Amino acid sequence: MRYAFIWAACAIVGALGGGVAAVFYLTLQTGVSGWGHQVNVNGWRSDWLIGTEAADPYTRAWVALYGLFALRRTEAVYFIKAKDEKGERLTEKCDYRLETGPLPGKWWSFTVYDRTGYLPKNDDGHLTFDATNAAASGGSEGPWSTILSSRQPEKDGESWISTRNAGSFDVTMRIYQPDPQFLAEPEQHLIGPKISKLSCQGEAE
Amino acid sequence: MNIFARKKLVGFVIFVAAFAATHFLVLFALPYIIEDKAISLLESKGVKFNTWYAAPRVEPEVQPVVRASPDLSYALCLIDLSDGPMQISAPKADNYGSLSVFDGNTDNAYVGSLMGSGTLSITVYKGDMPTIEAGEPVQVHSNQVVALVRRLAPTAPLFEESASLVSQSVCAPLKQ
Repeated sequence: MRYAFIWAACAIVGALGGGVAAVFYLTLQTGVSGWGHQVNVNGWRSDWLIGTEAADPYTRAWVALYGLFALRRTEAVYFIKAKDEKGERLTEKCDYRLETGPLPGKWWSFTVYDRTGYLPKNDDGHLTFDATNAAASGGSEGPWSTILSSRQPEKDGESWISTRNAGSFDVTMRIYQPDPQFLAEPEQHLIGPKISKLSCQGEAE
Repeated sequence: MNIFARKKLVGFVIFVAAFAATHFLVLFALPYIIEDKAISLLESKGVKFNTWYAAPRVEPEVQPVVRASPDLSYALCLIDLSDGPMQISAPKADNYGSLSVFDGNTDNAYVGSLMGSGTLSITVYKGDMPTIEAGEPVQVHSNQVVALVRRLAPTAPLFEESASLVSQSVCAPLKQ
């Protein structure tokens, strides 16, 4: 009889622990995290199974929480980077330069999201850097760069994405209608854009 | 192994089994729960089933779902397959665009390009394939799924242009 209570307690504690562990694991993730098919190019992380029936439960749950209605890779691929080139967490307290060359798809964009996956709540009107405004500012061949900052850059006309009210943030890179060769060998056909820290609040650049 | 050690082992096995079962139950259920909540949220904002809805431009104050892209215009149709298959179509255009269908567990059941000329049509169904189709057949596993049109719209004029195409789109029961 005594062991029946102990076994029941084991079941209850185990069940609670399993549920809490699942939620805790997902809330700790700063990027896509699944069992396999992970792609990591210079810290830009993706999972090639996003949106497909082959996605594992971790990937599918992560997508539901942080990227609902994400497309499968033949139409669009999503990369997330939450750290700079030195491996330090991206934060609105610092300014960064994002540099990229041509990307292997028909159209691309970079967007800043806060830790919960939403656009930062600011009215600066600079939410993204994309192929359209890159072509308008620096030609169609690249390379291009943009500033990630909570303040408008002093240099007149410089491209920037506002990180004001973003807190600890990540950058999502979307590549639409990606090239087939890139999908087959992502590490060989993508040069991961760099995010370099310029300065932080209270520091000289 | 004595009887006490055996009973402790049984307790440990029960703990591990309960842990694993609940862990994966939560992971499997979460996508269904979140998509269901997203559909309920959209309904509460006046989005009706089986009708295309042109979403307002994505801005910091207007974010219907996580990681919405401010470069795109979105139109969506909440599809209810309780009464049979649905016909979905959207006009193609010069700029990048796609028509996609998401199953109840958030899987991207279908995606097709909206670049070019003409109209892209699909038939969304659950269960047996309908005898009459209007475009490519797309099988899903849930009664309530979501069709989504994304179009490239990084500027206000392009957004207005994209939004104007919603009235030419179809989301209606398939006539059999």
